[in-house]
Amino acid sequence: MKRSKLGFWLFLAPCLISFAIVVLIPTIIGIYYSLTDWKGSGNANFIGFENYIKLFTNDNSNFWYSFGYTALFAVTAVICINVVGFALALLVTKKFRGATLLRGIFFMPNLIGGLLLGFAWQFIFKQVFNAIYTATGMEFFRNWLTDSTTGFFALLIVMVWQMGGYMMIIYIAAIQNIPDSVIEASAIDGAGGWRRLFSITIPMVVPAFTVGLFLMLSNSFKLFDQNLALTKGGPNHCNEMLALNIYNSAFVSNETGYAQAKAVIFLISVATISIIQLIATKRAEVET
Amino acid sequence: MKVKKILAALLVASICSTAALTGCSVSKSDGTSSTGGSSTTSSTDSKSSSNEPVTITIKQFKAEIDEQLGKAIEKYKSVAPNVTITYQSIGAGTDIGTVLKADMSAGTMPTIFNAIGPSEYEVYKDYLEDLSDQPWVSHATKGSLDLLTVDGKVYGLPVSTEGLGLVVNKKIFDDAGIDISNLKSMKDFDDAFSKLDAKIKDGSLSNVDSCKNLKSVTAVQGAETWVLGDHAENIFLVPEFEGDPFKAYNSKTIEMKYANTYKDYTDMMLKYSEFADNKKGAVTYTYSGNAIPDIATGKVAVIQQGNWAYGEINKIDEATAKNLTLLPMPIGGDNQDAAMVSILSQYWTVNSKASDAEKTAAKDFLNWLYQSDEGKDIIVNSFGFIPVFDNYGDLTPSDPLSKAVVDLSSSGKVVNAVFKGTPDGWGQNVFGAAVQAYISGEKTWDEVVKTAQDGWAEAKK
Repeated sequence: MKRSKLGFWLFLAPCLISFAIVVLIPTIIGIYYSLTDWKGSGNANFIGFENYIKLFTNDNSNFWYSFGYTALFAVTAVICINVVGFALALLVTKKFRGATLLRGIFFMPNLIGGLLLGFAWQFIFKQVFNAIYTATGMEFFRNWLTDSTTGFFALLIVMVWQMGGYMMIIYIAAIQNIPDSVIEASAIDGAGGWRRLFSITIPMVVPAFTVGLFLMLSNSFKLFDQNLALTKGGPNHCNEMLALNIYNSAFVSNETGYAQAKAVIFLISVATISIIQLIATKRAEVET
Repeated sequence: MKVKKILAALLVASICSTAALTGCSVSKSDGTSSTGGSSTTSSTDSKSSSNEPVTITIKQFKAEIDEQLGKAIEKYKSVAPNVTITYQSIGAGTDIGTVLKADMSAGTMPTIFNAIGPSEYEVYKDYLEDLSDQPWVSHATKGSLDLLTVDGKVYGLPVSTEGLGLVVNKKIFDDAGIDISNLKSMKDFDDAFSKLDAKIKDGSLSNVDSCKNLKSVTAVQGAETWVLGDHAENIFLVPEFEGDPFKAYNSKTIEMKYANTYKDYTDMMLKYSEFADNKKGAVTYTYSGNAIPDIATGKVAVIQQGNWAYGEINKIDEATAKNLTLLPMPIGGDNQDAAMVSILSQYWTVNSKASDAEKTAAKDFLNWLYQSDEGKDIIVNSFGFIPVFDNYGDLTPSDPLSKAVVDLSSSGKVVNAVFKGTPDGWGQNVFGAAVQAYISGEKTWDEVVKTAQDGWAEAKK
């Protein structure tokens, strides 16, 4: 008995130690630095909760604007990406010629790195859209990325395009796991396509929704590289998401301690929202 | 059995090196190279006193000279065979400060690195070796050591000097019959630009070869807060702080007394640009994606940049690059003529916490690079730097923009880069960003001025 306990910890140790080194310890150090006036170099003086007080009462670095922007983006992106991913999954699980090819094509954008993707789409939004505007005079294609509205939707388009295929893979696995017997039974009972979708398919893939929502929620909240590549958060910080805002505080303005305080608030928010969402969708899952 | 062990060791080594390489790519270092080579040399090769093998590391900010620096280090091997130098270039969009700060916390500061100005002195002061006794100090041109000389101690070897102003395609103006050789006030610039603008609009230049692509006179790089902020803000910083970065650094407030000159300048640059009727569109206009290709292909005639732009323009169109020149830019203040903003790009500094052997090797290398005949040739002809020492003889840079920098410097039409004394992030995050809002019409000019004043006071509190 004793031996197996030792074995348990022995096998767990590599994972536990690396987790501690790259996640736990840095988090604790980070929380400590959020209580100091550290400038990224030199001495860090302990100043208590001053950074937090400043953050909540007298922030001048656009943090709360970025917070709102990011939250709005996360909600919109989570819905859009999952709807698109699910729709694509439904499409490619239908048996027709080329379905496998389509799966590959839809998944492909996900293989491109965020920065590269951002620059490629920046070209589309600026050069291509502008060319369309010049040719047709359609106001819609004018001045993309120059304000928070077009910046927001541009980022949304890029993210849906990139992550839709990824979600699709998760939903394909879930849809294929639905037992044929259930489908057949519903067909015998006379359920049509829509009926089957809402009464059979969707309830049966709720576990996949749990995963999908969780992944995309934390992913959209922490979005950094696409944001940086597409607009750098500009003009005038109006497209700046939280991660970029924290980065700018830490590395451009050298307010490392203050940026750490922001990061702690950020961590708490993302964790809270994710846990609430996990609990909520867990409840909706059905036993199979 | 033995083979297996070796294989295992190789596997571990390869995993480690992959990890190390991935670590580099996170910092987005544009060119990462190192010259390895064995450091063991036979004693007959090595020259003098210390033939103990020494390894020093360099992290430097100029991605443009990555390859050339590698070649220089290769050459240095024959001078000091016992010294192994590895180097890394961090630049083109990545701030070397970010990387160095990470190194500082990780305890992996390189032996030679770059630093400049009062605020960076504060950041790196524990790592700066006093270089006052180095032989090059007495040859440095006047003022060139100022930005890293504190309490009479010289901490840095100036990398080179650069000039910021208006990069102009001179041939376009010549062919249009407009004289730009003596522009001094904002009105002079406006007159010259409006003449060219009128000629573009009435189509009278359509038969001129150099102007066949020409769409507008100027371009405003509205997406780049370092162009709007750090660079252009010298227009009002220079007169307010009398051209002294340390004065700006020590000032608790900024009056923005000459901010209107900046406004007039930006309005003028916008008026003759592609976005004259759609100013909002200018805020996505970038340096490397728009301004550089546009001036290289002759779509615009004037952009606000410095001599560093030559290399990239030359890559796109060599013929246009030959026609370029650098004009001084308008500066605020009553009796102030247009001037070039002289930017001492960076200093080479030596890590004071390195071992004595490493420090000596680092100092010797820098001295060789900037003071030996072989080194001087590398600095001017291979790196393309503008020397800041008085003992370079007739070695002068060959590209037209750097030549213009030398000419403007010697004729005295030059001011200091005062923005090096502004609070961290103020130029880009506060002022530059506010100017973006002004261009896109979301802020009035008065609001921009207020944002800038408040941001300064807040940062200096």
